[in-house]
Amino acid sequence: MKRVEAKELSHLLDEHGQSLTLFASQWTSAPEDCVQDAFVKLAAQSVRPDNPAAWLFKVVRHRAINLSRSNQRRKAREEKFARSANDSLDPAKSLEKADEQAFLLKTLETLPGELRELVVLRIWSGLNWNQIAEIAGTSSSSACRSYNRALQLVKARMVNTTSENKNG
Amino acid sequence: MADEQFIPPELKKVEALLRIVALPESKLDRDNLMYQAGWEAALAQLGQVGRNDQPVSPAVPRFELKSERGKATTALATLAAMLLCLFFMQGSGEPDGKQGSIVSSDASEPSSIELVEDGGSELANGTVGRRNQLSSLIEFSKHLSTGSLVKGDQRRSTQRVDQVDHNDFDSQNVGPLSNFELRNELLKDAG
Repeated sequence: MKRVEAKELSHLLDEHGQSLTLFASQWTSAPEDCVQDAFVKLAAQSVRPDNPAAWLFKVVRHRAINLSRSNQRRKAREEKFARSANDSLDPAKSLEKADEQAFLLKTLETLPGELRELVVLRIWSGLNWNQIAEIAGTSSSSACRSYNRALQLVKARMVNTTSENKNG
Repeated sequence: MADEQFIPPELKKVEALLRIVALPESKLDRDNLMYQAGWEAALAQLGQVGRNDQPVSPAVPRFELKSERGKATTALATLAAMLLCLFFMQGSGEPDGKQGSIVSSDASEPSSIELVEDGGSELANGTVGRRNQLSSLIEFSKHLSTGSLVKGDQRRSTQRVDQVDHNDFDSQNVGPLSNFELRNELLKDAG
């Protein structure tokens, strides 16, 4: 029985730390705590999971959802989300930053949770559709359809923002 | 490829835009994370993970806790082994220092013949061989009288009688001896 070694753990942290944090931030205001807990739990596993990255995303999701059930944390999350949503919905700020990447990220934050989850998993986790579907608790074809819908929403908001900027 | 799902081309552009987005800096404390992970891994390997996330100090090995008992057990076992050795050494030394002669307490009953220890001073060396042959004969006669011989035993006993005959009796007289004849021979030799 092989454990996850420190070198692999460090590599996983470098490769997936940020995407895991972004993933967890959908549900909780303390995404770093979820990610840290997941990595610590992975290190304590007596048997290395077949796909440690998928395992981490699954555990982070589970922990983040559990954390979000706490009233205090939910309140903080809502406050933070409200702040970020106001920022992202402010086209002036987006133009001021002139940063398309930041704009895309903020657009992403306005997506419904289940769609944003799929986008984060598909774009930044490096997992395949089967693994994504397993984490999201759905079929791969259903996950792909939802993903397409999320991309359509992102595109629509980009178009709207651009037209608003032109008109404004 | 099984992983491929259909994505419209216009959405692929959006996907490509998202792929080049740099993720925001994570506030993960890398050193703390690796330290905690290493600590938990070590505890998990010891099989002593704390229930409340508190580090648990490794338990003192049991052999240290039971060292006094172990020492006492070892000492007792050694003593017993020494006593057993002494006992067996004494037991094996007895036949070497003692010699015996065959004395019949009852002439009519060969089974009652017994060895009497007399320190070996009364018998000469030549009589010892004869005594052994006689005891073989006596044993054989006992088996004959009780009728408990099986074929294998019979064969062995016959062989033994043959050996005795070659050594002590006239070889031409070899043949099946009756119980009566054996007894007579015995009494004659015993004097």
